Amino acid sequence: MAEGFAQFVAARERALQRTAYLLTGDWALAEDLVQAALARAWPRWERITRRDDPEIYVRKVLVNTWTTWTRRRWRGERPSAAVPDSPAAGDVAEEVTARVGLRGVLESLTPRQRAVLVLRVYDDLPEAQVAHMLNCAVGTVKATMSQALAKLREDPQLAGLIEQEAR
Amino acid sequence: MSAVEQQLRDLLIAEAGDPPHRVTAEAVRRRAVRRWVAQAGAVGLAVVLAVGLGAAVTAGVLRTGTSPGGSTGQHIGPPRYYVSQTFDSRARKLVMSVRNRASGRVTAVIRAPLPGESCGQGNVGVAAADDQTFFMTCAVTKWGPGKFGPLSTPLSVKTYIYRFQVTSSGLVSGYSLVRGGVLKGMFADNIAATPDGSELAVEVTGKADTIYTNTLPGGILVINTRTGSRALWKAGPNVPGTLQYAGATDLSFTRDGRELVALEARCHRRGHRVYCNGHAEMQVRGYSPADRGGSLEGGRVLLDDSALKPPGTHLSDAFITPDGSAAAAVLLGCPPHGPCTLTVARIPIGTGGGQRVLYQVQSGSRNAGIFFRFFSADPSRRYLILDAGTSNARVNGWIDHGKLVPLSPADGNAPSYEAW
Repeated sequence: MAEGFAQFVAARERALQRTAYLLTGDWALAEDLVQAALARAWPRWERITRRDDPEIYVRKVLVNTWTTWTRRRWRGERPSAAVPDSPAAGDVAEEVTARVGLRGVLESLTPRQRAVLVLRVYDDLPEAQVAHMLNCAVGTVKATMSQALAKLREDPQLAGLIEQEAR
Repeated sequence: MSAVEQQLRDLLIAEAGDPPHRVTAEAVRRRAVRRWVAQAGAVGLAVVLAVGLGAAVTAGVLRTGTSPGGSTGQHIGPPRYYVSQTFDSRARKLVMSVRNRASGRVTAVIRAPLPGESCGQGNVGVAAADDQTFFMTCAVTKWGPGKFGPLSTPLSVKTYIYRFQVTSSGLVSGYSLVRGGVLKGMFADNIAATPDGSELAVEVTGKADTIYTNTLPGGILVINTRTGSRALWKAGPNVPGTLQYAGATDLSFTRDGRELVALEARCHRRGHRVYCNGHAEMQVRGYSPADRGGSLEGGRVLLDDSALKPPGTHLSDAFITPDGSAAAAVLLGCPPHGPCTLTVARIPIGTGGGQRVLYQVQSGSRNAGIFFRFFSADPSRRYLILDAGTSNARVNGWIDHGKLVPLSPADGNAPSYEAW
């Protein structure tokens, strides 16, 4: 069991961290979240591998744990001190603008909308699997996805991008 | 997937990039163990699990990693909570609280267990051991009339050392008085703990009527928290013309608790008084075996200013890595022409190897100056906290691959010390 778990972590931790980052918007929190999800899965690992796809199980725990975290009131606070680190080399303005725009929009989504968007679009999971992970009906996933995309269109920068692509 | 979704996916992929750290199976297991221990609240269970993990590590089942701090311990991620000390100017006292590392939010306030106690006073008044166990010093001082008013002279002091736990949800539980932790007539200025919390080192000053003068400090007490036994490392008799122990800036232990390491100021003396007058020589010295006690004029010199690069750089703070192979140190240097530099570095002990820079801050110009407040680390010495700054910006956070991740709480209070 120890070996199987270690292999899974070694193989999938980066992908899990990326998903967690898109959910939390913070690498430190993402690392915490992945550790928390894996720590929950580890004691049941043998059972999970016998009965379920471990990746789906861990992702389900990850999303549920994050949903629990978002219910806490302190989510609105952020550390604020300015750090005199060296500036990055080159002109990164365009990339930063796009990223900041995307981050802002992601933050404006509800936790469930964000989870559906990340799981459906980024992780490219089928609707049925997302529904299983979020404990809801496939119809709910479709509706939530549509609401999330509608919100994205409200953002002028992303709307432009999406419209341009749609044409 | 539609074209819109594909475009969105590309944006998300660009945004996610590559994680800065690896999550290891070992880190996850340790976290799971901590969670179980916290839930069960049973010491016996903790021992069983720790033994199980230890056996697994010995058997080579678990992967090991090397930390920048020089520890051979596992990467377990930075602690989720830390203890922060701030000065409440309205109440005119230090307030100790537990804060969430990511959000800065206060999750618990640490109260003085006894009425009239002041906790966390001194240079370092709180120290962390593994599993979010902390030790803090609290003093009860009786004041009498003096030159500056009716209650301006300390008549007597008694220091109590307490242990408490920060739970997995950031709350404080299990205050208990440490065995051997009642220090009559002594004021504690620095405290450090072994990773397992079995030993404490406390720098103490002596007589109550001289604790705020530059009188020679009493020494460093090593307390066995299981038996309550104590050993004293004390300053030796005055030897005119030599530099002698004048006080410790920071204390630390090697992982096994065998060696006590102190960053000391060494100055000339006159009788029982210390006269540093800005000419203190800073040295990192090791005293072994820590629990035996002895003279602070002995020990072995692990590091001093002469070993630092570039020449003219001075030690501001330092502690030993758990395996004793290196020191994590804060170095300050102001060359005659050019900006001042504060460097956090890992310096190998006794191998002649070069120092490795972990983080660096520079003042804009020599006149702009640079200041250093405090430096601390988690028990693995993997995650370092630094508080320093230039005239333009204050730096407060933990060092992560050459960058400083801010810890400053959202309310903007400047901490006087932080430990995790």
